[in-house]
Amino acid sequence: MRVAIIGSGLGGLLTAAILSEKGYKVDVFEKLRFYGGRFTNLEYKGFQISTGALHMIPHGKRGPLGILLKKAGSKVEIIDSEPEGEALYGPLSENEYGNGKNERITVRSSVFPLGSKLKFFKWLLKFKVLRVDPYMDRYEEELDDFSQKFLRSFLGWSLSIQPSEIKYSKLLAIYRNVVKYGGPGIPAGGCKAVVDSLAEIIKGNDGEIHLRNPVWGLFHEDKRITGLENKEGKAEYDLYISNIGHQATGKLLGEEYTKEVESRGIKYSISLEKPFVGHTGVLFTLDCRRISGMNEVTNADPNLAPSGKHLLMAHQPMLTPDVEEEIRLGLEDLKTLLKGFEYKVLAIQSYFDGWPVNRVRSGLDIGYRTPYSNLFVVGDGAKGDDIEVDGIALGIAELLRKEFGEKINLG
Amino acid sequence: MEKRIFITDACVGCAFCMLVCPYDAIVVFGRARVDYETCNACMKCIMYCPNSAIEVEFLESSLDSGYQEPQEPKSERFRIT
Repeated sequence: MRVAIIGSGLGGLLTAAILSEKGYKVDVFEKLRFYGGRFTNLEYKGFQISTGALHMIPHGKRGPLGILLKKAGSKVEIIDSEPEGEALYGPLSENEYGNGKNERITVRSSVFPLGSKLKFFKWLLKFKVLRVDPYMDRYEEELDDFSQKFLRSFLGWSLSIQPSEIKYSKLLAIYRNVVKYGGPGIPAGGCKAVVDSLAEIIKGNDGEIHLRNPVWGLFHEDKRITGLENKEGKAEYDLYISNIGHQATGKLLGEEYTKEVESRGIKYSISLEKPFVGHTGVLFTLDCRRISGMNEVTNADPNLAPSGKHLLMAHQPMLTPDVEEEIRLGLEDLKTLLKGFEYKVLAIQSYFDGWPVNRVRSGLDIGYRTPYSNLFVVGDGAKGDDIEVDGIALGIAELLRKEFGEKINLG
Repeated sequence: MEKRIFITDACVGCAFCMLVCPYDAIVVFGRARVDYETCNACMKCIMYCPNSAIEVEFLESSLDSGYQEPQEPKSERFRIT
């Protein structure tokens, strides 16, 4: 069986690696001159800057991605974050709102006031019994100040959304995965180490990754794909797996069968002389106007920065369409947060309009199926109910189970 | 023929071009901007742009036409994909 994979992002490469291990002959087509999409590194002044993701896997080696990487035979090392998360809480600077005194609180169940925890279970009952499932902005005001701000930070950091953009049931699914799989991990070597390990597996199984070779269109007949068109002409495969989202896949078909709502965000890569976060977990920044969290990946792998330097990555969701204003607010937050630290912003990267944080906002994914029987979609356009790349892995696990009869134990 | 790159509205500011530019000729703040003083028109950035937002223009002023427009040089645009 010959499989064509369109796009060499994490989803495309992971699917290609697993299928090549099963004996399928895979051809991966990539329009850019490098593979990995928004999950690899570009070296800049000695720093390994990620093209998209934050050099972090939401549930580390225990989560869906960790499990599938192992299944594919990837040897990439994933370093568990310790602590998993910390919350920076309290006014950041002296102003009319406060005295500038803030504290760092290790995130664990016991730090959330009982009242707010009971609220969560009240909503659970309302959902289970009455199927009441509103967007979270309807609920968040019932929470205490800390829990409310943590919810906003968590959603901004992990999904690039606000409470008004996620329903209770979807948040519940993600909460369950956090409880089940635990917190994040950092791949040694960053995102690139993950995709490099997958590319190696693909090549080792006689699969090919064709760089600078975009797929221009898909031929179809009676809801079946009969071939793809690229610079070499027409090529025929048994199966087609698209890693470019449903909407862009529709463009290749000449039929936009669905419209996607993306999630948007901005990422800052910052060079530091000495550590600010000081550990390998996430620092959620609860009292910022825009920045929702940061990580300092050099605490896990010093090779991600030149010797003696630290690489801090901060993330914010885009709350308005004015990207320049959003960045100005983000930079103001960083200035306040990093007061007293010598730092340099290496890169400001914004993600929206066809090159977003997520092609489909979490909770709105429509699954891997398309109206065409031998065409499937993987990647951030077809996630399961989990965070970022672990959501991508869940989508792929579903595809492998249902279409390829794979037994996958996700714990 | 003199050529130069320009950034189209398709740019979202992912900064891949800035990260790979060998001449440090691009700054990104929500959108890429080219410093034509330092840009060498090496075109490396084009091959890294995920949104095909960098294009090349061949400056008419450098064509051997014998006639120079008195205003801004007009350009002929080619899309490289």
